[in-house]
Amino acid sequence: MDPRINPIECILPPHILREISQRGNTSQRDRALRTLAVSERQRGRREAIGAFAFALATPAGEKRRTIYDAHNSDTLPGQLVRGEGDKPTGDPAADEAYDGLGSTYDLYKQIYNRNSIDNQGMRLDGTVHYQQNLDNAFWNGNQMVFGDGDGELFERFTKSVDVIGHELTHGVTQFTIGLVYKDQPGALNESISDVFGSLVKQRVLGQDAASADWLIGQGLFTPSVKGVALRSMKAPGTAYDDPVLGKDPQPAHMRDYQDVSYDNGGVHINSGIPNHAFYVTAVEIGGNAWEKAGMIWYVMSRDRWLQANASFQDAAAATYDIAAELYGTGSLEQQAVAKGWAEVGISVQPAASAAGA
Amino acid sequence: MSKAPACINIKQDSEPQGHSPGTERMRISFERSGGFAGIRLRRTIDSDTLSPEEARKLGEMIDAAHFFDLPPSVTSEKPGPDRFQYQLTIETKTRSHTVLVDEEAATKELHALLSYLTTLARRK
Repeated sequence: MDPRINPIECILPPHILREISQRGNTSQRDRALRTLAVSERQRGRREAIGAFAFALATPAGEKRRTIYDAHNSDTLPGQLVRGEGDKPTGDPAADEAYDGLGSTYDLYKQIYNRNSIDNQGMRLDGTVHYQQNLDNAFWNGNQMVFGDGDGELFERFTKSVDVIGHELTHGVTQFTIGLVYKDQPGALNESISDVFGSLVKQRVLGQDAASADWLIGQGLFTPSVKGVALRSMKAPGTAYDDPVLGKDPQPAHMRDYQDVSYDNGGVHINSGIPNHAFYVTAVEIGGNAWEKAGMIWYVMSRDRWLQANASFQDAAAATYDIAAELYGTGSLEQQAVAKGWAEVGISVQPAASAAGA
Repeated sequence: MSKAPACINIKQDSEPQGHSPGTERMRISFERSGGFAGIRLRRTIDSDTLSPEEARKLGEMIDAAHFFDLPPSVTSEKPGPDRFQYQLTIETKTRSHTVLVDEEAATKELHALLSYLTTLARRK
């Protein structure tokens, strides 16, 4: 955008921005959105974005990816580097983000018939090279943000596709059950992101439940780290044991639940418990984990079976009932769900009523 | 540092490394948790172990962030997923202050301080 132009002073009215968003090319659409975003912030009117976001809905399930480069600054989204349908940039971070966003969109659309994060074709925006040496990636409520890693312990965070699936799933959870990011509901929120992150990876690699490694963040450590991944759904607590990073703190059972104050009450720690429940369920059912086990877990979010402050017990009851609805009472699938939760120390009981079904 | 003979300027001998006038000795307890990796990074930093340049820079960043005037919690109502949380205690001879910080609630200056401390905390 021409820096001499102050978007506030020559703001295009929303209906014109909407036209541009639908008919314009990638960079025109991008500018239209950013102009409106700047003005929305200045005027403090979120309803402007709400109407605009609806206008950006893609027709009949097309992905619309936009990748930006923050050039190691704090500014978001940064410079547009790749739009939907554009050829690879040659920057591995940008191209991995593009591919990973696509694989995540495809899992949700092709398997669960969900049209993007909000089920209304929301744009998938990602920024790479955010800040300097940032050993992190996150969903900020509107877009994905990726750091480059510190080069000593961590590689760039676009390197593992499950990271991308994990972060976008935070968006899905935000638009569905909105689990509070603290204590047990927060650990459940984290687990749901690991589950679907792993399913994206398994589908990309063509692995069924039995042959998948069930590791999260496998490519992120540098060779100097003593560890295979950040987390293991198959064997929580075994993913790494390193002199600098410490040991993988995840429990695999409720008896080892970590009631800590840091990490929002240990959301990345206690997620090991529902992660393991999903793993056991998926292996017990057999075949591709995204088909039946994944469907049960997805319906839990889609149909809002849980309240925002749901516990692991609530998730166990919900998945047990969903399995009965989808596959029959007493079915192999329902029994697998019961076994999965039993393995982590939670016995299922039928839900008293479906929350907001 | 060996003790200087009495005829030499005593000031040089009694001034500990890392100090210049206006920079107090500080003990910093730094903890970062959360993030996608969920790995807890904890380090105690004694400003005496820093070079004079590093100690000076640290002091400036602490001042710029108005650290000692911050409330005990600099947090968001809705913590963003996979963002970092920090617990930071800075002690000097005369005062001590502890602040809990959610990454997305930090000012630019506080964020700069936390980034710098992260770099120091990662050092072997």
